[in-house]
Amino acid sequence: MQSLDEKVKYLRNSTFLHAAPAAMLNSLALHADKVQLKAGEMVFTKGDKGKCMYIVADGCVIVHDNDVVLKHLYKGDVFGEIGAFAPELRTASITAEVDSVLYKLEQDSLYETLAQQPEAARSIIQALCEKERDIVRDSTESAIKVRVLERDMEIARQIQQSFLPDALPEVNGWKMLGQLKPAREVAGDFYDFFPLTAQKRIGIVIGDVCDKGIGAALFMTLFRSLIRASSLTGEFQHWQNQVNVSNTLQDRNAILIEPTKILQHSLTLTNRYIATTHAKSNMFASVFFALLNPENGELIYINAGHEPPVILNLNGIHRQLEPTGPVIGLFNEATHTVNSAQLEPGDMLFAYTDGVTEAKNLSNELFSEERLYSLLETTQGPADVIVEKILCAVSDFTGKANQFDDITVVALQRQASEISA
Amino acid sequence: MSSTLHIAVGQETGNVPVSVLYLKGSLDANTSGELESKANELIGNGSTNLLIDLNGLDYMGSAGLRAFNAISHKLKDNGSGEMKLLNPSEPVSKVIKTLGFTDYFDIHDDLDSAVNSF
Repeated sequence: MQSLDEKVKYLRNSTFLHAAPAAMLNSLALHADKVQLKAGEMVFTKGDKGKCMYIVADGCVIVHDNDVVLKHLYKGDVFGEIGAFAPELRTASITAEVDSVLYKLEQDSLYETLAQQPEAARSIIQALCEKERDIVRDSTESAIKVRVLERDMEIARQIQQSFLPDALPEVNGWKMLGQLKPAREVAGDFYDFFPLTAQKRIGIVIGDVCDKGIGAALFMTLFRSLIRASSLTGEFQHWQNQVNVSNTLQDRNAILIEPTKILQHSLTLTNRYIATTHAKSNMFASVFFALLNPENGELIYINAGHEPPVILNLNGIHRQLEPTGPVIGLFNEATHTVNSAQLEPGDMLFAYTDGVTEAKNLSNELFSEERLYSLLETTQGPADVIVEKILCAVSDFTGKANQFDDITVVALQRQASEISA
Repeated sequence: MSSTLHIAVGQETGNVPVSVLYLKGSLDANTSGELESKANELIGNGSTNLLIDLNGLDYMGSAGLRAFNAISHKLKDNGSGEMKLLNPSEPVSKVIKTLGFTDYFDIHDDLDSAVNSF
């Protein structure tokens, strides 16, 4: 049995009762019950009714809201005082982090002591004011931290935006467009359009880095840049030719790389770089990378583990461009085959990320490939109209549900008017 | 609205002891961490052979592949041990095929043959 003096000492050393008069401490100590907790044991749960407060005499408890730890409390710290003085439900949960000892003070004994000793009320008011001061200080600090984070995220969002093409190549007879709706401030999806002047091709990329948020966004910038930069190796000769106009035709064509080689070179290099340099991150992306010959509508592509893009003609879905190899960034030894497809006048290539088909509504149903395909089968018109219709359908479907994943679509349409021209 | 994943663990013995993780629900970006934690816990307790049963999954996203890869690497880094997959449900098979990792993981469709392959 613990001596009264010892209990008084614990109460006096607490943050809440340090200013309490000796008579009050003696009276409270008579009613303070010792509580012993094993690590992991809960004291109370958020939302519980409770009429007592606790003083930590030894060990450590955590204040938490489900999995989110709000604060650690150590010897001398006090909790539960709101429930002890007001008819409020517990505002957070408390669990012992290690084996701990607490002293429990019931509302009745607190009120009884206050009734008998009016001067004790002053020390309680002082203690509550000190608590309030701490809460105001903490919430001010949190608000400042949140503002700094929000500003950083806004900067990240703007920088990431610059990793998407701000202007798409304008090619006679072709309509190109891309749209990305991030689920959070920053995205793991990406798309790209860029001209390969030497090869007279247009590069078209759509990709989805696994995971979401800031980690995926950092890797998105890496994937996008590696793919684009490694595709431009063929441009080197072109730039040199512009400087040395005296080069012969033979010189000029000397190292013109075949378009199929560009696709393979670029994705193999990106794959190996990420699979080796960033092996520990386990990050990867599904990527569809195509080169279009705008002269004749020939499209060569590698589909690295990406949702199959589709080619639409007047009769609906004409072809799906199935994967030709695994995702990029995981398997060092992966190889990817180059396939080809033909876009006739009026045809449209439509590529998307799984944020479209896996968009969820409030009932947790997926938008699904079936819904997307049935829309694509029944929609005709210019690329921008089709894309808008699909994005609206996804948005109508999800309704008030939070956007779960980034949504990206890319369209490439060969204009039908070319026939009559 | 948030997805859930249930993980049950069983023990089998073939040539060596094998821990089987039976997954049920959705393996996605929100839940894949739970699979990794459970696998790490088993590895921490000395399991070296993990078999992941995918039959009860009604959804798997690319985060699932990320978790498999992380678990596989962890076992390899430890020196000995392997992770294999069992019985992918239809939607999971489709994702495995699209992402193209059929050639990179050992995938079985029968518990006994899977356990005896370790």
